[in-house]
Amino acid sequence: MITIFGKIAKMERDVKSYLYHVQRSALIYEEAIQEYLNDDMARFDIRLDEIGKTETEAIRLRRKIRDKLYQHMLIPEVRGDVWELLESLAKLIDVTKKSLENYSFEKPVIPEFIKPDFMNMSEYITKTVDELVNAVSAYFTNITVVTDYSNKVLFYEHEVDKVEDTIKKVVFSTDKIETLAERIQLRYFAEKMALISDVAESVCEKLSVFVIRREL
Amino acid sequence: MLTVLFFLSSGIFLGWSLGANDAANVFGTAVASRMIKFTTAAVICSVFVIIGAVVSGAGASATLGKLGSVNTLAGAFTVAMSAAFTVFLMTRATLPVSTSQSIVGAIVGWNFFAGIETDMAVFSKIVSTWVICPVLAMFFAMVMFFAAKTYVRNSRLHLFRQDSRTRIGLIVIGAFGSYSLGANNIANVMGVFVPSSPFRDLNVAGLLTFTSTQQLFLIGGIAIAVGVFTYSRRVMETVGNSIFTLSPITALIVVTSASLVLFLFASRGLHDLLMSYGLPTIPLVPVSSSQAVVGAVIGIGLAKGGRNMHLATVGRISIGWVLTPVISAIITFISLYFMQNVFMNAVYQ
Repeated sequence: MITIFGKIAKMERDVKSYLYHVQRSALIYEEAIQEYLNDDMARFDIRLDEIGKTETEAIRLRRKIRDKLYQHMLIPEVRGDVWELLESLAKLIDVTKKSLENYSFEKPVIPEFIKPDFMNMSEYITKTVDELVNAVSAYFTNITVVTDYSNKVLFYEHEVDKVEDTIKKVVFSTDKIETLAERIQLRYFAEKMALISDVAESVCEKLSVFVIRREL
Repeated sequence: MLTVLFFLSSGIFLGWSLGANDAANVFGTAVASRMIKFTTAAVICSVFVIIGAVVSGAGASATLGKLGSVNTLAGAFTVAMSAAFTVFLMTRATLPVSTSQSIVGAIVGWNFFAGIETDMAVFSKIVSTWVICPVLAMFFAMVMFFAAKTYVRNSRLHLFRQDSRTRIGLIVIGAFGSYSLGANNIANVMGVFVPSSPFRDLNVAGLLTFTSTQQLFLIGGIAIAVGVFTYSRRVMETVGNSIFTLSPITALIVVTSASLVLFLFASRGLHDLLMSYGLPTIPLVPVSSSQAVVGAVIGIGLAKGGRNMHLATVGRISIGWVLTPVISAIITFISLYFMQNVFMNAVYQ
């Protein structure tokens, strides 16, 4: 009996740790964008390295959880849901990392006048992911509050979309950006950033269904 | 000895079919949903069915004896065989069947054949439990459902912890359910052999007496255990996957409700306790675990607001409950005629 409870406590810790890594990736992302906008490339590269390590650790934890879930036949009713949820969150880290990698490879020139919008967007992205992690955490411990957190996710995702639209409008209406290539590149970066919150939104939609299945 | 074993074979067969079918009512959902391994369920079920049968089987069996005391071994053989055949027929016709109702119908059939008047007081007491049993299980399930819902909402238990507790609950309640099943339903399997028991009381080291009835019940219990090990796996998978679409927690509630009902109708201790306080007693009658489970499932359905309830299925189940005792009585009457006039065996004294 002690062994069973020991295993359960370890699983709880692993899930908590996994969610922490998802949250951490968003926090690193926000810091990295800020450093990029401040032209601090040395610190930006450190952040890029950090997010890579976070993803590796998250993958390791996810595999560990999967093995335990199936080997010990835990939560048979919702095992598929939990696994899908963890996989979707892995995609979220992946999209976040790729967005930063694109900054590192392409090094887009972001004009001063739209830097606040980019900063604003990264802050909203962090908030979206933050609330999503709270929602997923609540799925494991207190399903009654999942909807509250989900509503916040949807709210911040909408804010990200609004900033994305603003950036696109400004980029294509201003005459301060000279070439079409630059305009398209900036639009591309705004869209790739917004993709992070879109993925968060889709995880949130899945979560709503999983909550219904968890009800008695 | 061979003759004795031959005549007991119908009871043993009935025990086997009870183990094959009714163990699913206790562990079906747990096994089908992979919450518990089949081997674990089978071992727990077998051990506790035997304990329940030997320790607490006498109460319900005594009531069955009052309905009709089948006083020859050949008569008891025919009654048990007819009941088993009815169960087989009804199962073939895919109608839900209760071994308890089948054996009661068979005893009434024997009464008719032997020209013995059926004690209507006992008969009505037994028939009333066929209604009370599912209703009580339904009530228990509803109360437990609301209690569980409140607990799950307020406890903030982690999903993994909730899962492990449900698993432990299914094992503990499964053991209790198996004990109650053995205590209550052994009367169906071996009850008719009690008046004509071929065994003698055994004194174990001068400390306790192993009565002839307990010896009979031990054989019946072992037959049930064999049924559990050899054939219940498929039934458990079927019951768990097709009839129930319950979550592990609601499955636990269903098994707890059904087990409680079986226990109430088998516990001599509770019966004596209520009597000592001058309270109305619960009759010690063999009731159907299937009826209790169906009642509990309906209770869960109602507690959830009555959505997705298959009323046609409920109607079909009710038809099975009415038909079983009638068909069993008719088959017994005809079988007794053949046993007496073709095989030349006295079926009553």
